[in-house]
Amino acid sequence: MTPAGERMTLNLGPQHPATHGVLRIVIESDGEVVAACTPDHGYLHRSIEKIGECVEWPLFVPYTDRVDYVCAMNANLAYCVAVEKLLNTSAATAVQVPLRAECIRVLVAELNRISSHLIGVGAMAMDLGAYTPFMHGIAQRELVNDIFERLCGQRLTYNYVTIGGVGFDLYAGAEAEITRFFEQFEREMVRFNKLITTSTILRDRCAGVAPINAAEAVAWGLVGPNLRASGVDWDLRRDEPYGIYGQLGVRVPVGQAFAGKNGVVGDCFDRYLVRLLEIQESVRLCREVLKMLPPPADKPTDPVGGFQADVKRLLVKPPKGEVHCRTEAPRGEMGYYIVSDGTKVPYRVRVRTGSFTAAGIFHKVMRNIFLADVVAVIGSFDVVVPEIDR
Amino acid sequence: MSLGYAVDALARWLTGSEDPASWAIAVAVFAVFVAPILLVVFPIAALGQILERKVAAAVQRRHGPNSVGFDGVLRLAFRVCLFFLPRARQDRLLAAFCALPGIKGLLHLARRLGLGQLVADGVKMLGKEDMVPSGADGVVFRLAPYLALTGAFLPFCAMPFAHHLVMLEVPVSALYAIAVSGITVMALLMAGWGSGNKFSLLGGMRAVAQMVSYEIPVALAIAGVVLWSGTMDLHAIVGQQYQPGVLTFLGWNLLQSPFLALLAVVFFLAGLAECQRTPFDMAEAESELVSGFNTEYSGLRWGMFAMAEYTEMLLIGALFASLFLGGYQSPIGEQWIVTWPVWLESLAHLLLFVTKVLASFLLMMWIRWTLPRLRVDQVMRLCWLKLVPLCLLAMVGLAFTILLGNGTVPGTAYGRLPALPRLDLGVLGRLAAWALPLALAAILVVAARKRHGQLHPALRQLTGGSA
Amino acid sequence: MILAWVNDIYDGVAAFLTGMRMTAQFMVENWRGQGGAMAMTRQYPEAPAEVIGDRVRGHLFNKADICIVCHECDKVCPVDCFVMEAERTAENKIRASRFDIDLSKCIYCGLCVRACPTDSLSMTTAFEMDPTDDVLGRYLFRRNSTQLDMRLDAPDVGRLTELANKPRSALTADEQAWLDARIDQRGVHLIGMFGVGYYTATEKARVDGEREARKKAKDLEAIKIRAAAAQAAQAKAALATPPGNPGPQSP
Repeated sequence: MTPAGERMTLNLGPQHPATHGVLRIVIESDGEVVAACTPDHGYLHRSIEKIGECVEWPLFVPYTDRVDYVCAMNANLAYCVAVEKLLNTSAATAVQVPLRAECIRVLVAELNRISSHLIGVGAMAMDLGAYTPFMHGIAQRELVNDIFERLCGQRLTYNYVTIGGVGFDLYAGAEAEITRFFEQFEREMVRFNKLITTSTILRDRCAGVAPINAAEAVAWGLVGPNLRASGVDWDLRRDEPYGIYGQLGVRVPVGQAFAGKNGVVGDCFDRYLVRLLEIQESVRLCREVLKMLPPPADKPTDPVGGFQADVKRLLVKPPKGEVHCRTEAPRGEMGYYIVSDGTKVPYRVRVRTGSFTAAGIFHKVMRNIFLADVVAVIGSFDVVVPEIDR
Repeated sequence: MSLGYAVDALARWLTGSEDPASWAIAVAVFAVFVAPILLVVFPIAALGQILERKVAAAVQRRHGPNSVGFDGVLRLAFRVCLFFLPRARQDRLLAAFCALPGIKGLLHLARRLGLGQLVADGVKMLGKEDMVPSGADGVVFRLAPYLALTGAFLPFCAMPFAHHLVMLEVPVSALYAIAVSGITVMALLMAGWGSGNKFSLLGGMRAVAQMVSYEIPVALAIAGVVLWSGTMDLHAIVGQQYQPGVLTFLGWNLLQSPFLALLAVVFFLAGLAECQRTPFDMAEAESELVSGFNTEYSGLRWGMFAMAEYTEMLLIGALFASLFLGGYQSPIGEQWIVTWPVWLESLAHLLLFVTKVLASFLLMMWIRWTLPRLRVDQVMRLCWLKLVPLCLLAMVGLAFTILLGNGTVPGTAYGRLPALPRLDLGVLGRLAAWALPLALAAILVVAARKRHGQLHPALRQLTGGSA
Repeated sequence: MILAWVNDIYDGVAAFLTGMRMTAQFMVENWRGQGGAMAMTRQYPEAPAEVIGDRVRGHLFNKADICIVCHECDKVCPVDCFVMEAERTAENKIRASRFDIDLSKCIYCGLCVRACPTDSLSMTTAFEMDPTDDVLGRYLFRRNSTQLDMRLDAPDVGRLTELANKPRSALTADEQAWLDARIDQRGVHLIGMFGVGYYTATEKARVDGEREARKKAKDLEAIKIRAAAAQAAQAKAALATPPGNPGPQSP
């Protein structure tokens, strides 16, 4: 408990080295102790949902890149899966995504989950004062970006997954390159973990800080790794599978007070470590998918031959109705609620993102903790500000 | 208190008499003071920035500064010095100079090491506006950087740079060094308070709390060495670590007893905290407090704080070397060096001393780019629950070692003697002095690991072990 | 309690040493140039920035002679960066009389290239946005909002390209005025011109040749892979057919 006294208002952000992007948190502090805090959002609002009501169905895909630019592949995928679900509500417009495209989708989504989690854990370590792990995370992320650049020509905003498939087939030698990448990646991750994860300083700083128990996590609508860190065994890839995730047997890491002595289930260290364990799981999934990847179609340059269903004509007159479809993005559920009035432009596109709900619990957990813990908590939730503001 | 050998000799040489006039003493003091500080400490502290960036780059798989060399400076020098010649002529001369053997390689090396950053950063800092925020306490704000620099440089007055190169022969120079460096606390508090910025204030308060606490382990570690050597004079402590024979390093305090080694570790850690380095850099924690106490500073005043930080690192390195690593002495064959002419001996000593200091300097940087930052309460807990008890433990152990050694505490030695009387345990005694405490520690550690040392299997698996 | 205290210290020291060993490894690797900065960092302004792969989405380029001005690209563009006008040639064929691509609006999503029915629109490997650059910036112009609405016919484009790539001192007052009316060095819109591309003629030929060669090699590779796959499938089928052979046993 903080002794009653004069409180100081501290402005953490919108320009502050610790807040990832333009996040603003107004802190009422009593010296070093945070008494209360109010997150203040909206500095990065770009009306993406409104734009969705103005552009045609397939034209919105590049905008989904910008919803969460750290994992654009997953953002693409979430929208495309949602539109496919809408199309499948009517037999006339049913669309079957080719198996090869489904495999490639899982491959890129998991690769992007790896690169996104690398940023997440690296940035958290950087917030806690260790700069080196972040640079090593970035270095590995660059290698993933190299693969993506070969695949689709861009390094950040991919616009790769399309409604009904993926934009391009795998390039020649992609499987070998990805396998090679994983070999060195696993070696590097062992060193990364030795450098920072086993560091007692990091563990002591995160252990028992801002714990969220399972009931609270569910009540506040936490999703993804933040939910799983609180001990809730819930992963859409396993429990509500989309694509071919159902056949892959996803293993879900759950928070178990990893920090040991001072650890509590759902503290910052659990959130941190669940991400690292998910990276491992993603590597395994990618390897599985590479094994079951069907051979390319006969005509590799044919847009409908094996990696893309022809949906162009369907999207001119999609079925009327509304769907909500959620997928497991690195920052948790990314749900698209789309309403169609049967025209070629969506009536409403609404995005539900993991960072938004994570930001909702900030004021709850950032109470009676040290000022230094605030950055650890922000880092452990791995919020990406454009996802909050959209 | 007496002035050092170099000061006396210089003053005598200036006046040509055995009893030099006071002006000559003043000049000599200035010269001897300025020589090591301006020629050794200042450049290394200035180089600190580049060194830091290079070490960080190496650890993080980057190049670091590798583009700015002295090419521009050289051209500017030619333009200024040969202003009376036409420009084409200047260029021809410059080209001719660059064509001299080795010049091109040197310029390239300077570029690759980014040495030109020294000049560029200096010019940049000079050119920046000296801002005082409107809500600041002007006098306090302006004064703080000078005080920080003073506190960082003053302890070097008593530092034995070489056997003949000490400015002040203070009988209590170890005490003097930590006492004077305490001025920095004041400076940081002034900077934090005077800025009129909440982040600065928090940084200043953190700095004060931390530095005041960590003075205790530092002082205790020094007290342990004092207990061992029986003197508070840094120069005497250095002299006492002299060991005849080839393997001079066997005389270093670090290797005398495990308790002294423990004190060395504690001293180094507490020293890190004293100069606000990671993992103890709460006072300027970028990700929490923007830049802590120096958030509002710009230009040269900010540069002074940066300089003070690096100088303080050097100070800790110098104290560490003097207390535990035999000071300016060579690790091997010191007995020959003392027979060299005074100037050569001083030069050799100075180089050896700088090498040892630089080693600590680099170690501090290496640590900085490895570890995360501790939290406020953890910093305090580490100090009071770990370092201070360890210090006390080591002191007790040291006292017992001395008692059991030969029952006598060595006489207080003071002066410039090549070797001072010190406690000698003999070979068996020294082995026992190492073996017994280490065995005890090992037993404790094994028991502790058995009881508390379980790591979560997920963590073991992530680091390559089996789950 | 004492044991916990000892264990804390041991833990801290052990983790510290592991961390230091890791960073030392990184340092040594970096100095030896193994997978360190030498491999990761590109010294960009000094060394050219390379792009990876042949799907790179750089500046858009339109081959005016095969463009049929069908507005497909215009329709799929999420940011409306195309402005095009058509005209009839002497042979009564449609061709573009104007094809402005506002590269400062373009988000390089590549939807237009996928939509283009004649493959006249493509994405080059050029990505640098300096109109004053000698080679890459030759056919990029900055224009302000009022100039954006100005129609530029084919002959104008030729003249514009010619004048803009001359040093300003070599122009007459009339030419300067003509140029200033059409391009503005501080304009916010960076326009890539139709039909002219971003390369000199020889360079373009070289790049085109390379692209073709790459495509051919890729096709060959694909054929090889398919042949190998077919062979493997055949072998597998042959292995499975003999009666009494249940096929490879799973352990």
